[in-house]
Amino acid sequence: MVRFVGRRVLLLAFTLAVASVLIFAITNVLPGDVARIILGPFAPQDAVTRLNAELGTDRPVVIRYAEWLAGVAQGDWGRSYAFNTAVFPLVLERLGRSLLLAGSGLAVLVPLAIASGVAAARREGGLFDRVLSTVSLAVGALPEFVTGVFLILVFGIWLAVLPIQALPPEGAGPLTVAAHLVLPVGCLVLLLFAYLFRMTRASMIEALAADYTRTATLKGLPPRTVIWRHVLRNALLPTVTVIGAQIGWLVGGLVVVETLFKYPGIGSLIHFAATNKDIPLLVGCSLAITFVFALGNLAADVLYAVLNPRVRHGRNAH
Amino acid sequence: MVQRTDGKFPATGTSRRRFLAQFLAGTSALALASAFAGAAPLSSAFAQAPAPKRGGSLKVAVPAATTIDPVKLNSSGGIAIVQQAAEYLVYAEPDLTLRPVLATSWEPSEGGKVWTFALRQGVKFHDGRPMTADDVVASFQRLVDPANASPAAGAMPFLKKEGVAKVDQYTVRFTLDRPIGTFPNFTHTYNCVILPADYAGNFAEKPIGTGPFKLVSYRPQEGATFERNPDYWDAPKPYLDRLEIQTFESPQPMVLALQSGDVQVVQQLSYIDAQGVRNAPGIALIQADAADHRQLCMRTDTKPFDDKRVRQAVALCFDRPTMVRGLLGGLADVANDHPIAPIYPEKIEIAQRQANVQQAQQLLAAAGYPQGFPIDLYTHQYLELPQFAALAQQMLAPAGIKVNLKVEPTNLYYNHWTEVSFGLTDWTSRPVAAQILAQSFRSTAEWNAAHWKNPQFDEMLAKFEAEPDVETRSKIGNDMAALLNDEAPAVIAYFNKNLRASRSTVKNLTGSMSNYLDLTQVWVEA
Amino acid sequence: MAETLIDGRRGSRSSKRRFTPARGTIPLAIGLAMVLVWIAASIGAPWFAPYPPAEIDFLAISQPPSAAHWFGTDQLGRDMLSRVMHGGTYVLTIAPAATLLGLVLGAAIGLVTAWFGSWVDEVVMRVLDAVMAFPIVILAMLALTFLGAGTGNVILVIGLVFAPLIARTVRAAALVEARKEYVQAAQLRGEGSLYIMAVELLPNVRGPLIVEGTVRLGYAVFTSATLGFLGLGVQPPTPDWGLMVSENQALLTTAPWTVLFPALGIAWVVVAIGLAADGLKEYLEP
Repeated sequence: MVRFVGRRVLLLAFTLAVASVLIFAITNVLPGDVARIILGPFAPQDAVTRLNAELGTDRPVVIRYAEWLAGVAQGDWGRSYAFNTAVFPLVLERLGRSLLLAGSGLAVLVPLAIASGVAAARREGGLFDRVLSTVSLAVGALPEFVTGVFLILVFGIWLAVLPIQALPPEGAGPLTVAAHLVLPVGCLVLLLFAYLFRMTRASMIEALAADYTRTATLKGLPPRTVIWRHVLRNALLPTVTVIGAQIGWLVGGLVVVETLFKYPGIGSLIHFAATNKDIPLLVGCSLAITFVFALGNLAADVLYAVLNPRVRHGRNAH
Repeated sequence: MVQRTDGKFPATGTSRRRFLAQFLAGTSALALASAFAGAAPLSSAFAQAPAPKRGGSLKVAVPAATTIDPVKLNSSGGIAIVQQAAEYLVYAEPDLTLRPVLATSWEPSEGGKVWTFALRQGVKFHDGRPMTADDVVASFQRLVDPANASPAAGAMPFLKKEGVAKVDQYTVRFTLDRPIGTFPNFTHTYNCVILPADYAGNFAEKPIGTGPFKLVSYRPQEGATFERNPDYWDAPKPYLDRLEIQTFESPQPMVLALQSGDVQVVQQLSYIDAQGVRNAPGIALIQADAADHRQLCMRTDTKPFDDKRVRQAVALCFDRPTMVRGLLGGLADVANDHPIAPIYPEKIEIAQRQANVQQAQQLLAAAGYPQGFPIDLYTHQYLELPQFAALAQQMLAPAGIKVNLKVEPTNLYYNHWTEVSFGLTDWTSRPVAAQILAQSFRSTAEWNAAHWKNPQFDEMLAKFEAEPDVETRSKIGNDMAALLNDEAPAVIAYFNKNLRASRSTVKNLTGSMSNYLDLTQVWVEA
Repeated sequence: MAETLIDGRRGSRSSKRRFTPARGTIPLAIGLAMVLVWIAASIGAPWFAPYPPAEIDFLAISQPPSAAHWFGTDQLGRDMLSRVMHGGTYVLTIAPAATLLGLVLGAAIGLVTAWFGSWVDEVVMRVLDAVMAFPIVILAMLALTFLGAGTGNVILVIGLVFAPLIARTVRAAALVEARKEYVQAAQLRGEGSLYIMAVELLPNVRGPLIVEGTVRLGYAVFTSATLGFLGLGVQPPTPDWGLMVSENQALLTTAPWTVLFPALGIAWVVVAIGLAADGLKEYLEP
């Protein structure tokens, strides 16, 4: 197991290296001209040219990449062009915020979706199953700016029971923080529920019908043991992978929810960086998101190995 | 799976900043009586003013901010934040007259080539030091120094570093390359706030100005908090004790925050976004005349628009009163294919071009396009531009012009907007008409998207820029407007109005031609 | 309890098959019927829609639903019913095509990495991880900037960005299957890798694959709309449903029908395809 995890961590470093090259390559083909974007469309061209020279965006990509990499190694992530502040502390603060939001979302979503998926699978084709399958798909097909605005209108303005801005006042207690997170978390759950629910339900149905389940049942094991040790364990394998991949997405893809609920996290930061071609910021954000994404996958892989012992002992098939 | 949503709010950082005028002249706050019938009580400059009350706090929603270094500043949010902590020499009133702020008077000499400003005495920076001519000279030299790449340098190409000089402790002299009749208006360009002579480019860390409020904290993508400046030169102003400016990446959450009471003022909002609050109880809408407009530019150096008759035909297809009503609910003034808006002091009186498809067809036939022609129309995803483009497609169809729409992301469009043969661009208000004429229609202008070169026009423009007398400027302006109207390098169908919204507890808030935010006289009802 | 449940299910399944329609045919039929409604509506739109979809009418701006305009009108006075009817065409071609492409590519990558394992798996998955760490629309924007806008490119780009996500799910499911006896048996029979992946593994990972496909479809609709909104896909004034939802977003509080009806259309199609997929899966179940 230690060897397995160790190998995974090494691979994580590899992923980050690949990602950093990719990020740097991509940021140099983004549409738009850095200084033009910084100075605005109505700034004179010679000022734009001068700023580009000053920022060094006119130098070869390889040199800039090497310099940046050396900086990163020394803990210097550069300065944001647009905000004129150090990238690293800004990214760190935003990452923490988004992790809180994504974590809260997952904490509600995962148990809910898995429990519903298991319940639906055990009564496949039943009323609960049909209604939830249909409704969740329909709601999940709505973009978050529709569900989000609906939540804000109902709970924030008409009923006026919940704050519509997710960022709590400074020095707020945990209860206040939680109250501020209710609406964005609700929005996330509505958006993501269908996916996890259907994934769990589908795997669960397959696992219930699988040979090992029948074997276990025929061996005379108690139903509870069959469900917990055999069915659920196998059924959750694809779900675990999906959740692992989901963490990275959640953290980087929260742009709309963050914008709608005025919660400046890493999602809105990377979106800002991309549209303003703020390369140090974009690179920093991407790196942070890749890191979280890779960690999420690592956790999923480890959990997967725990659930499925055959994997961690290496390949056996051929 | 959530990733699909990125970019739903396209190019907020860049496009939002364009919302704000590049330069300011003045404002006019008018009640939205006719357009928004049944609107909530309006706060207006003309309302019967009860005595202002001291104290209280205010939260203001503004669009996204990038840097708040005044020298590099260009985002709407950034400008609104800086304007609370630092001040200009002059401030343009709603009727475009200039109110003395850090300057008390100004005087031209040598036919408008030299301008001498007398400074206000007894003004203190937030760190207690007095504001003197040294600070003003250093501030302007910093702005026009090419090394600093300030947008202000582009706004004032006629001012060089050597042209800014101290006369005495409270007098500053500007020597320009050529006479500029309206130079004081240019000192109101959004970058031109007066900072201490030793300012080092770190406004976010060390925000020292002379403004009514002191900047306490600034956080990227969140906003800024301010406290009252007790030593403000114009006592007993300001009335507010505390001020918070929140930046928003997209307009909808701003409006929702106003509705829920999380903010009391939305500094600027588009016509479409304003509809959400136009009939809301307890919310006031403030309308300001502006010179903002859209230019539908036609490349005069390539087919099919190299023929004046084709451009005239395009201009004849637009039913302007219908556009004003349909696209902007009447919140705009019909325009006549020149950018000299009615808000400017120069009065233009040339015949209004009316829609006439038949005449357009005749002109097209004469130019060799009896069946019309297909053309790509480029614009970007911002404000009412996509709707304008869809409308252009419909209005040009009867003349046989088959428009294919290319609605691009803002960043992409601004990479080639001066290259496309048929492009629709948003232009914000400038402090003086001369500036917008020079930037968009002078032969040598970088943003002359129509590539229109007319020596006669250039000659008139040079006179117009130098002329200090309004009557004479109106005469030249009329000639230029007539020339633009006849040559039609661009269709300018209307001048937009600027909108601002507030809770009705907020008093004395005015609109602005350039969406500038002046909170010195604003107070709140408990 | 599980015992009765499992055995009962098996029993009822075989007994049902004798007397009632095969399992899954009812949801399958409902789903297909729901999709057919829109296929009919979009094919018939040129004749039956009350107005041309792009016709601007400034005398009827942002009208709520009425007898003249059943679904109301948008901010340019365009008839929403006509727009929604015409819009079905785009949703029913672009999104399914893009999803299908993503499924084919994703399944191929997932099966290959799961089956071959070792360094192939590691390298491919790490590269996919790195690619996936980018927000999808930023990736798509970059790709379309190079390829240029256009329906074919939108399908291609969405399919390409979906593939890594689908690949992960397929890989996870295939890893489990690859170790089962029937696969080892096939190997002992001397079957080639291609045969095992296509004939043995693929049918057994169809559960997660179908789930991915149905859910992904909804996202495909919106990714294409977002790209259109950014000027990279379907151009306005095309009455694409997702594009309408994006375009009218600002009117959500003042003219909700401009968002509601296209959004309902999307939800309708996604649910219909979900039902059909569920039904199909049940029907095909051994």
